[in-house]
Amino acid sequence: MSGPRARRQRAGLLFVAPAVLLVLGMFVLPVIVTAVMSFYDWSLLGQRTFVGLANYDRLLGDTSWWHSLGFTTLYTAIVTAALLVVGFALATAVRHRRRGVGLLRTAFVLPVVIGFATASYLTLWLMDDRIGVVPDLLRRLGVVDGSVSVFSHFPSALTVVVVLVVWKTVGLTMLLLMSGMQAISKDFYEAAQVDGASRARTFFSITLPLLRPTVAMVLVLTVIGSYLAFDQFFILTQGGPDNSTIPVVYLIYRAGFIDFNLGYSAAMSIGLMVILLILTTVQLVVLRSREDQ
Amino acid sequence: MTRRTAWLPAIAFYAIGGLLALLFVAPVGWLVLASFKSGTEFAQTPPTYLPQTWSLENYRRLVEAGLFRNVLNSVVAAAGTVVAATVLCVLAGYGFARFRFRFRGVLFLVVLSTLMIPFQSIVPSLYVILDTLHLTNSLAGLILVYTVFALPFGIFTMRAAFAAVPAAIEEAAIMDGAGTLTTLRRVLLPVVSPGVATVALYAFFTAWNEFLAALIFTTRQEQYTLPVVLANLQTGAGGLLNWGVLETGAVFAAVPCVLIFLILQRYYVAGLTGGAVKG
Amino acid sequence: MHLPRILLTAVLLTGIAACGNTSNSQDETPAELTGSGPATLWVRAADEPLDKALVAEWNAKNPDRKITMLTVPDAQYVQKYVQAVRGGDAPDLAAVDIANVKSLTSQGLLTDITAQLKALPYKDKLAPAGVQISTVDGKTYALPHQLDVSMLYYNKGLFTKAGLDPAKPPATLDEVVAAARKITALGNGTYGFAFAGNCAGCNAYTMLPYIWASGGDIMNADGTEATLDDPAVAAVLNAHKTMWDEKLMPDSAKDDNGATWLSSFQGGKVGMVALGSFAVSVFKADPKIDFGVTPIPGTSGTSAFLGGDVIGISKGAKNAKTAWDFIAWSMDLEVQKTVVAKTGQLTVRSDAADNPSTQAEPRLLAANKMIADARVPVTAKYNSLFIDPTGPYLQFIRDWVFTGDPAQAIDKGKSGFSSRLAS
Repeated sequence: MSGPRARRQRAGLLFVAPAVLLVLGMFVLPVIVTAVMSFYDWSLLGQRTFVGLANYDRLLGDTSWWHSLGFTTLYTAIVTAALLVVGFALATAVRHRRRGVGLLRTAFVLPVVIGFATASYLTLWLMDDRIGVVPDLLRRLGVVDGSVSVFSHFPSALTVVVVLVVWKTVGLTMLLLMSGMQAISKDFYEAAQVDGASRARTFFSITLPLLRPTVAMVLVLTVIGSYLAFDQFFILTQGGPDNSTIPVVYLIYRAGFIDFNLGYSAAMSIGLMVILLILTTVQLVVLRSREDQ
Repeated sequence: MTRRTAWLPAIAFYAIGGLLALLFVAPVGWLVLASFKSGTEFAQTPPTYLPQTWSLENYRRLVEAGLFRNVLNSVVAAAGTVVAATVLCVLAGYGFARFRFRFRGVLFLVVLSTLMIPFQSIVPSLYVILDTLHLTNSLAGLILVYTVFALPFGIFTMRAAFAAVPAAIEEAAIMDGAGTLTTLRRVLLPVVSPGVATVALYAFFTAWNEFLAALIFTTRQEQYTLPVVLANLQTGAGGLLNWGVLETGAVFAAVPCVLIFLILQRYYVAGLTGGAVKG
Repeated sequence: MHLPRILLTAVLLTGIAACGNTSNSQDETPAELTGSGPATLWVRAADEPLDKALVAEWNAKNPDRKITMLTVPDAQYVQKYVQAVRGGDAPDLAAVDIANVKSLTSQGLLTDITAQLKALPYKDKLAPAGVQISTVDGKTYALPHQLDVSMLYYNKGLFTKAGLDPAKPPATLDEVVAAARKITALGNGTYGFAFAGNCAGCNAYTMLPYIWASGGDIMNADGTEATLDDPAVAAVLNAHKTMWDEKLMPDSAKDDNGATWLSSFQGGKVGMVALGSFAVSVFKADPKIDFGVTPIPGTSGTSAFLGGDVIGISKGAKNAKTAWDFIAWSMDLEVQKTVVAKTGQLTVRSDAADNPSTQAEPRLLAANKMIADARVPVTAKYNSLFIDPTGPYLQFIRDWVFTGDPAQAIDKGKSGFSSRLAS
C-alpha cells in the first residue's frame, strides 16, 4: 500500500477514536468494574472488603430477588404480548396509503417521544382517587362505588402500568412492524389473491412468516426494554402494594443507593446482565435458524 | 390492492381510527389544558374536566418554586448531549464507513455490543467511576453518560448514511485536493444531513427523558433535571402535595418532545425504521 | 444588641473548654473552629421553610458572611451528602433528619462540637433525644435544629357527640380502642380511628411511639437487631388489628400512602389519628374542625417520636466558625421565641417553649412540652428499614394488621429486617 493511501486509511482510526474511547471508558470498563465490585463488600459510603462469592451466595437465597425476577418476567411477558397484538393491529390498519393515515400514524407514535417518567406523572394525575378524571368517570358511570385506589391492588396496579407502557411504546412497535410489512414483495399477495386465499390465511401463511426477522427484532427490543423497567414503578406503584411490583432494576437501585451496598447491587447487576444476554442470544439464535430455513 | 383496502368500510375505518388516535393524543392534550386551572381547582374533588377559570397560577408557582432552574438543567443536558453525540457519531460513522483500518471490525463490534448490555445493569460501577472523576456533581457527568447512551444507535445510523453515499462524490472532492475533513464538511455532510437529524433527535429524546441516571448521579436540587425534581416534589410533600405544580412540571417535560416530534417526525421515523430494519 | 455579646461569650467559652480538654489525652482535641467566610447550608426539602426564615434573618444581620441554602430531597439526603463529602463539595452546615444523623456520624462526616456544646449555658434545655442521638462515645456532632413531635389528634366535636369527655382524651391504648368504638357507633360514615396504613415513614413516626409507650421497642438498644416478638409490639399491632377488624377505621386506611393522612382527619369524620405536630398549623386554619392533642398512649404511659432535624458542621468545613456562629445564633432565646416560633415551629430549647406564638396556640405549647420525653429510633439504617416504601417495617405492619397473620408477619419481618441490616 502506498504511503498517502495508508495514511488516509489510518485517519479512519482517528475519526472513530473519540467515540470508541468513550464507549471503552464508560461502558466496557464499567462492565469489568461491576464484575469486580460484585466480589466485594463495597459500601457507597467508602469502605470495601473482598468477600469472594458472598454476594452471589446471598443472592441465591434472597427471596426478594427471586420474587422480583418472577414479577419482572411476568410483566415482560404481558407487555410483550400486548405490544405485539396491539402493534400488529395498528400496523395493519395504517400500513397502506390512504387519506388521513399519516395523521393516524403521527397520533400513535406521538407518545413514544414522551419520557416514561413524564408519562408516569401524567398517569398519577389521571388515576388519582380524589382529583383524577378516570376514577371520577368510573364513579359517574356507576362502575365502581367509593374510592378507586388503583395502586392498592396488584392486578389493577399492574394493569395500569401495562396500559401506560402500551400507550407509550406501541407506536414504535407499530412503525417497525409496518416497515417490515411494506418490505414484503407485493407479488406474494397477488399470488395469494389469485389462489383465492382468505385474509386470515394470507396473514398467517404469508405476512407472518416473512415478517419473522422483524418480529424477532421487536421481541428482542421489547423484552430487553421491559426487563429494564424502572421509572414507571418507582413513580407510580413505588413497589407496592405489599412489595408485589418491584422490578429488578428497582432492586439494584435500592441495594446500591438506599441500602448503600454497591457490592450487592453489582452482583444483582451481573445477574441481570447474564439473564439478558441469555434471553437475547436465544432470541437471535431462533431468528437465525428460521432465516436459514 | 383495491380489495385489500376496501374490506373495512371507510366510515368504520375512520371512526375507529379517529377514536383511537384521540385516545393516544388526549392525555397529553388534557394535561396541557388542565395546567391552566387554578391551583385549588386542580386539586379539587371531584375534578373539573376543563378549567372553569383560566389561570396561570400553576406556572407562576412553578417559577416561584425555582423549578425553572431544573427546566434549564434539562435544556443544558439535552443540548450538550445533542452536540457531543452528533459530532462523535458523524466522525465515527464516517470512519467506520469510508476507511479501512486495522481492528475496524472489532471496534465496530465493541460499539454495537453496548446495545446488548444496558446501562441499567452497570449503574453501581458507573457511579463509582463518575464519583472518582468528580463528575457525580455535575451536568457534565450526565452529558457524558447520555452521550454514551446515544452512541451505538447513532454510529450505526451514521455509518449506514455514509455508506449509502456514492464513492464518486467523495473521490471527486479528493481529486480536487480537498483534505479529509474538508471533504467531510463541505461535500459529505450535506448529503447525510437526514441521518444527522435522526441522530440529533434521538440524542435529544434520550437526554431529555432520562430518569434513573439523573436520579442517581446528580447531587443537589439545583442540578436536577426536570423529571427528577418532579419525583422530589411528589415524594417530599407528605400529604401536602401541590398537584398543580407537579403536573405543570410534567407539561414542561412533555411538550418540547411533542413539538419537536411534530416538526421533525420524518427524520425520527425514517431513522428508527430504516436503521433498525437493516440491522 | 445582645447578639455579638453572646457570640463573644460563646467563642471565649469555646476557647476555655478547648484548653481544658488538652489535658485529656484523646487522639484529637476539638480544634478551634476557623473560617469566617460566607457559608453553605443543606436542608431537606420537607423542612425548608423554617431554614428559609432563619437564613433570611441571619443574612440581613451578617451581610459579609451570608449563608447560602440548598435544598436536598429527604429520601436522598444521606446519599447525596456522602457523595458531596467525597467529591469535596460538602456544605459547611448540614441540617439532617434526626433519625438519619447516625448514618453521618457512623462515617465520621461531622465535626466534633462537644466543647462548643459544653460551653452553652442552656445545654441542658436542648431536646435531650436530639442531642443523645447525635452523640457517639461521649462526643457530640450535631444539635437539635428544628423539631416536630408525633402526637394523637382527636376531634373534640365527635368526642362530645359520642358521650366522651373532650377534656379527657385517651390515656391508654385500651382507652383509644374503647373511644374508637363509641365514635364509630355514631354511624353516618364516622370512624373512631385512622392511620396511614400504606405509608412507611408515617408509621415510623406515629406507630413507634405507641410501642415505646407500651414499654418495649422494635429494635434492640444498639439498633442491630429487630425485636418483632416484643410483647409491646404485639400489644400495639393487635390494637390496630382489632380496630381494623371491627371496622373502626375507614377502608381507605389500608391504602393511604400518606397522601390523605391529614385530609382524612380534616374531613371531620375521623375521631383520632396520630400525626406530627406540623399538622396543628394546617388544621387550625380550618374553622370547621375543633381538635385537641394529647401524647400518644401505650399500655404503660405515653411517648412521642422526636422528628425534625439536627444540625452539624461538616468535617473539614472551610467556614466552620461561621457555621458554628449560625448554629449558636439560631438557638438564641430571642431567635427561638421570635423567628422559630413565628413559623409555627417548636423551639429546640425548653425555656423558649413558652412564647407569644405558643400562648396563642396552646396545642403547640403542649407539643413543645412533649419534646422532653420524645425518642428517636437508634439505627444507622433508618431509611432502609423504616422509610423505604418497600422496606421491611411497613410490610410487617401490613401483614399483621391487614393480612391478620402475626406469626407470618414476624417471620417475614425478621428475615426482612436482618437482610436489610446486613447490607
